[in-house]
Amino acid sequence: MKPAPFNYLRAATVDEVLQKLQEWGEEAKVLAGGQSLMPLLNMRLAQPRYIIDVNGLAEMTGMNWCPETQTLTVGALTRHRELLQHPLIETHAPLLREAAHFIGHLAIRSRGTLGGSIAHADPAAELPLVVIALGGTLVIQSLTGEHSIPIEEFFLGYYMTILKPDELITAVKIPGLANNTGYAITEFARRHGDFALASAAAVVTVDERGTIIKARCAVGGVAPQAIRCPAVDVSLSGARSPGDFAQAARQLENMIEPPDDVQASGEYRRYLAVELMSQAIGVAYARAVATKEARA
Amino acid sequence: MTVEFEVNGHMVTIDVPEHWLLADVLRNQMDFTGVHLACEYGVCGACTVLMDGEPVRSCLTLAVQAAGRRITTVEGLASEGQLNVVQQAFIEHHALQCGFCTPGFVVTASYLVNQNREMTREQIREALSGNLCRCTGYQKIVDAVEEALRRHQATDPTAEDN
Repeated sequence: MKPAPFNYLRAATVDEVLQKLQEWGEEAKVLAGGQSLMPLLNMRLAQPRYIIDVNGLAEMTGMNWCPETQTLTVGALTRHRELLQHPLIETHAPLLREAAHFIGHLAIRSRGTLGGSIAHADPAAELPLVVIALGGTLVIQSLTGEHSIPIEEFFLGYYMTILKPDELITAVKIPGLANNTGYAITEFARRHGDFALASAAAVVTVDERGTIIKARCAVGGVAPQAIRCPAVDVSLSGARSPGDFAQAARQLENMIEPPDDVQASGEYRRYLAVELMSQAIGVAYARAVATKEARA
Repeated sequence: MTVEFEVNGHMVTIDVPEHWLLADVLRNQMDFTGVHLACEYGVCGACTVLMDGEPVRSCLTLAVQAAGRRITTVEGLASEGQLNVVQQAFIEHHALQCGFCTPGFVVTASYLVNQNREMTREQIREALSGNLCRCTGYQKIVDAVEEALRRHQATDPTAEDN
């Protein structure tokens, strides 16, 4: 339970990271908060030749709200603890705060990072799930330049993403919540802080009469990656009652085929996902209506 | 790699292999054997130390990552032979049995005390949920931390009074 030897580089700039990623390719791993990579190193499931420590990179920390584009840019190195406490998160992306509350424990949140959680691509992780529901995009850099992609195009399956060996996630962009919009995340885990057996997130917008006109839903833990649920989104159009929400959530039944594993049967996970989705929609709806009434 | 950092109030300079864990270096090179190692993958919390005042898993931290940081282990909590408020409360409430998990709990709880916030019992339980104890059933640990927070608030003039 000790890491195999590797060469360690404490990077001083993003450029230095990109140069080394280019040079070392698949032999290098980027170390951010280390709350997933370090256990993998300790168990020797990962034995990279090079570790590039990005923890000192101020360029990847902090966040900033752009009023023109109504977009919150969050540095990839933002710790879960900051998601819980930062006023810009509270104002513009409170769903990230709610998600961070489900992650691990105090000492995990001191270190774990937003970019790290996304790059690690655990199918049950909360942050990928809510960034999908919020319609976030990832800012990815390499020596050849910078590009952004919608997060739902990022994941390929269990712990696999489209990130190339020479690329680095440097920031996550989250669109601000539209008027009359509510959000929620729900999950079920055997013990608090464990990865969820299933999780669901919903972001819904209502019109002046309190009818859903737009929805973005996502589920986690029930597929090789967190996924969007377009069938649920469509089905929610015009919904306004718990019966409508439950019916929309049932669209999931045909969308997912969770496998049996030691923690739960696939059938149970499917049942959980539908129920959690229905609850998430209900909470998001109530919040959307409350913001509408507060504005009126 | 040669790194310099502060441990329990003293600056140390040490040459360590780059893949060594902070927990191992604290224990084996510096004799801070109060840093207990059990699971070695971040689940049990026994190896929790403070890095710049924040609780971290020293089994998930490389020793070279401590460079320029301030590390506090359970050995650094007492001052001039006086146990800190958490340690004292653990004794009075019999908040340990075998003691293996205790350093992690005491370090985590000392962070909570330093935060100077009032906490409900439920919040304390949530904050301690990253530390596993297989003896006590947790009740007495939560009792002790409740008491420590109460005493700290009563004696610290900077504590919030909300």
